[in-house]
Amino acid sequence: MEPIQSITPVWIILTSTVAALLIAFLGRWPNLRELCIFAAAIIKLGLLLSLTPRVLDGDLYEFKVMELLPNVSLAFRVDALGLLFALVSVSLWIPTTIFSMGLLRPLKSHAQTRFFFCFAIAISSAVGVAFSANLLTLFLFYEALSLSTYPLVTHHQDDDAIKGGRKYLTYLLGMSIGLALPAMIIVYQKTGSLDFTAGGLLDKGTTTTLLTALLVMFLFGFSKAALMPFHAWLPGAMVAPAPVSALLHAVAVVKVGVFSIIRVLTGIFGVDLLSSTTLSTIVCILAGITLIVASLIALTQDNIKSRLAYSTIGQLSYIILGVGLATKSGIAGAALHIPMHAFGKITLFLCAGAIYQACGAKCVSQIHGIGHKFPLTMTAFFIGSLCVIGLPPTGGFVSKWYLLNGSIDSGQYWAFAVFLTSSLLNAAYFLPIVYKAFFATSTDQALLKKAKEPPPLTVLPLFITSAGCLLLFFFSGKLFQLVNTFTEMYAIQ
Amino acid sequence: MTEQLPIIIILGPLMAAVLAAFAGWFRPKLSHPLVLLGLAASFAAALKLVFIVADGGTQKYWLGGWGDKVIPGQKDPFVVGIQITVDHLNTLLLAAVSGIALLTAIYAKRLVDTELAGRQRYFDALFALLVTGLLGISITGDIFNLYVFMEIAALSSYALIAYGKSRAYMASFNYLIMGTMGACLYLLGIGFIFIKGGTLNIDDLSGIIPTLQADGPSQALFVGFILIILGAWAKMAFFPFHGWLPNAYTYAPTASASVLAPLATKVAVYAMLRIMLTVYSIDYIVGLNGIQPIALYLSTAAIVMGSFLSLTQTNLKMIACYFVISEIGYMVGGAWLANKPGLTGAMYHLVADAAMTSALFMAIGCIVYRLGQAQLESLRGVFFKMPVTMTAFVVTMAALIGVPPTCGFFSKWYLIQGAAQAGVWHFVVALLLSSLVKAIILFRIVEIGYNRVPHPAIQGNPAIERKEAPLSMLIPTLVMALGLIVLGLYTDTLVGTNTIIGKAVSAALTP
Repeated sequence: MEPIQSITPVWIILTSTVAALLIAFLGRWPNLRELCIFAAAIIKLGLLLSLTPRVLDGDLYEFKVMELLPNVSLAFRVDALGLLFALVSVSLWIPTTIFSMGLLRPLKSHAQTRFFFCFAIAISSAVGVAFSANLLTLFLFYEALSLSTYPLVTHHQDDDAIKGGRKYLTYLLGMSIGLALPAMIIVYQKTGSLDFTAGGLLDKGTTTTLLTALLVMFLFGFSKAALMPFHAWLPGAMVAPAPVSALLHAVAVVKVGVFSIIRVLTGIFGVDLLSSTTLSTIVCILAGITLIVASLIALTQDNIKSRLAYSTIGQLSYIILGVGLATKSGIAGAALHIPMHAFGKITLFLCAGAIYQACGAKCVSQIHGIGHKFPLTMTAFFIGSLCVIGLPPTGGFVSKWYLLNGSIDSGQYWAFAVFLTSSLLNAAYFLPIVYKAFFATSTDQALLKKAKEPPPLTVLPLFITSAGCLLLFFFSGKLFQLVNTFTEMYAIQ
Repeated sequence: MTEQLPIIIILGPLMAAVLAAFAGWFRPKLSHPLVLLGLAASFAAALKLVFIVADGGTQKYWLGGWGDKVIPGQKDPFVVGIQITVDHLNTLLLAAVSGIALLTAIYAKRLVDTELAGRQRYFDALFALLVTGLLGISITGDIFNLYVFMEIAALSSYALIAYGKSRAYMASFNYLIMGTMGACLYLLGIGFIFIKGGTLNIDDLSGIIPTLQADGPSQALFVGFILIILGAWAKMAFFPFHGWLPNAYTYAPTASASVLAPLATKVAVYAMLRIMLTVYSIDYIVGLNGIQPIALYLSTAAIVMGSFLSLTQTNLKMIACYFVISEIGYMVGGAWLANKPGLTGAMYHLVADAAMTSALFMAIGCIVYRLGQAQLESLRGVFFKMPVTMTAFVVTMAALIGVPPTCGFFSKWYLIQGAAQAGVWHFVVALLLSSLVKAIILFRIVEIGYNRVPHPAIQGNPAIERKEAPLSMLIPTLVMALGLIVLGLYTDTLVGTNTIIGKAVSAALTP
């Protein structure tokens, strides 16, 4: 099928870049500035939705901007997976912006314009990654995302923030330049191309040693996916304000990492090559270890945000493990886990932010018995936890269902066990928070007295995202269609 | 008129130098416009020639129309005229050198007025003379003239450096010793080649040298080659001959450093490439047992050492100087990889690095103009004080790190590809390491200049006054920084198969 030549993907990416410039100019008029963000988000979402019907029919949108190297262009291609990821990032931009307004405005936080500016650029970069037609374009937006989120991570500009920011860049920039870039150059050297192609670029003639080396370089090189042992930047980046942790470190940034890995595994290596060699097992083992270890560490964390961070590390490995299984339902589950986990985790992060704003509590041990003071927030937290654990009626159930199916199809029964164990661990580190908030007796009376439901601007986004968690369960059919289009295009069995 | 273009490239700045010196005597204000005029003529001619060469191939020019004359009584045709050549290898460099020189001349005006008040006309004349020398090295078709131009450039740069304060005399003297040694080695090497080949014309030599070695390698030619390469290495501050560079460019007046750092070293690299690829040949280089690995190890050492020493510095100018040293390692290494991607990377980096270094020194110059110094601690709050300059600075650093789509990414891309193809893994590691070190330095500066000072919007924090460098400095800086992105985006137009660098590489690879 001929891809449709269209400039719309470029406009979709540029919408938020243009918005960013407007934000910079409108810094003096906060209301106008935020209006501009919402307008951009809605236009962006509208344009994305306008592409959806054709993509569901199996069409592709393509646009080539210019040739950068012989045979490698700055080019965009919208397929089902990219569209899915872009839809998730952009639709979550709206509630996060509402939340940011609710959080930053009462605090009279400094540099709000910079905050929203960088946010918009980060969204552009994330969508750019989603639409990249080849590895070089992807790398370009990947780096743009690392750089544009640095000012967000160091937003507070105190010593902790600077330390966290240093770690953030060392890992993200260091690994991508140190490992992913050389791996990319070797692929170009071997194949003369970097386009994501169904069936992969690398052929079976390549020696196993080189393939293994490349695989490991890519897996660790895209360290936004936080595969252990290169995960330490993610807990470190939790010094950022809550909305940043929510959208970037539960959705855009980390998902860009796993998205890049999915692209490399399906489009550069090819699913056939993965399943016919030991490569698949390597991916599964690395992801499996991260999955269990991260969940165990999460159990020990008292700080809510760092517990969430370790939970994210584990959930990202669900996705990598799903792709590593190299079966149709495994990859479908992995792709579906992107939106499901995104909605669940963003709800949790926003709740953590709301709790902190309402009473200043940062730790699990501080919020005993506080639930009845803000029932709405804690209910949203409960729904978000269900979604991440993977219990019905939330979206997380659907993706985990496919992931489990995938592990049976591939015959890797140990992966089945790993998934289940980890889900139990997820329940073990989330549900006690909810339980203790509602039923335990308070330890800190001063805190309890201070606590009250946060302002509506903070609660509204919680409502939106937790409703999203539930809706995703009931409308998972549509999402599955998208994912199915992707797996069919790549002829994954 | 078009056939006269090659000579205009040198005549422009040469005439400007002479006129600026004389006119400056009577009307000091005239010297700067004259230099601008000469450089603009030179740049226009060089730019036009890029297109002519891209379409029509090599352009040769015989000075005074002396041409390829046959001396009566001699059996074989023998060149007596002086030739200048513009081909695929040097046309981009000529445009880059004259263009950057023009922009720097505009940029340097305010700096010269403050740093060298009362001596502007000498600076202008020396500046034009330096550019004449650099353009001459790049355009000449004769290895002895190359030496002559090398000395013109070197002598004017000694003077330009010695204009600086405090330790500038000593730094300039060190450079003089090292530069003279380099020039002597080079001249000695030419002697060997002349004795064996009987000519100094590069085109003729490239035909003669293979015939001289038909019966086996010639010791004299080998010694000549090594001497010339060593001479060029000393001139370009290649490891381990780099000792003179950091002090010379740090203590020189900022205006001098901003033209010397990007151009002088790059032109010396070009001279090495010309000798390696045209006078000798790629087969000769590959056939030299043991020399190629040494050159590659030295390149790695240059990159690693330059990177680590830049980490230890506390002065922005010093840091930039060590960057220059490590970038030299990129180009020498790329050239000595002697394969297609390696040579492509080296030739592309020649232009890209000239632009990057120029943008870097321009941005540093703007900072120095406002802050009076370039110590890292003095940079606190500089991002709020000079946001536009710092934007240009960050873009430049991104290019040096190799963030796409800036030009630095693509030169690194080809160099790494070349090293991977040749299996020279230590060079790959060095290139990546140098990127990481530059990233560390960039974020160290961001931390000091941006984060360490609480944002001016925080209450109770005194607002930092916004004071950019004057427009005549700011605009050239921005143009250069923007140029880094444009150059990166048009990489394929420069390095593809049927393009200027593509043809230069294939000409070098097919004897």
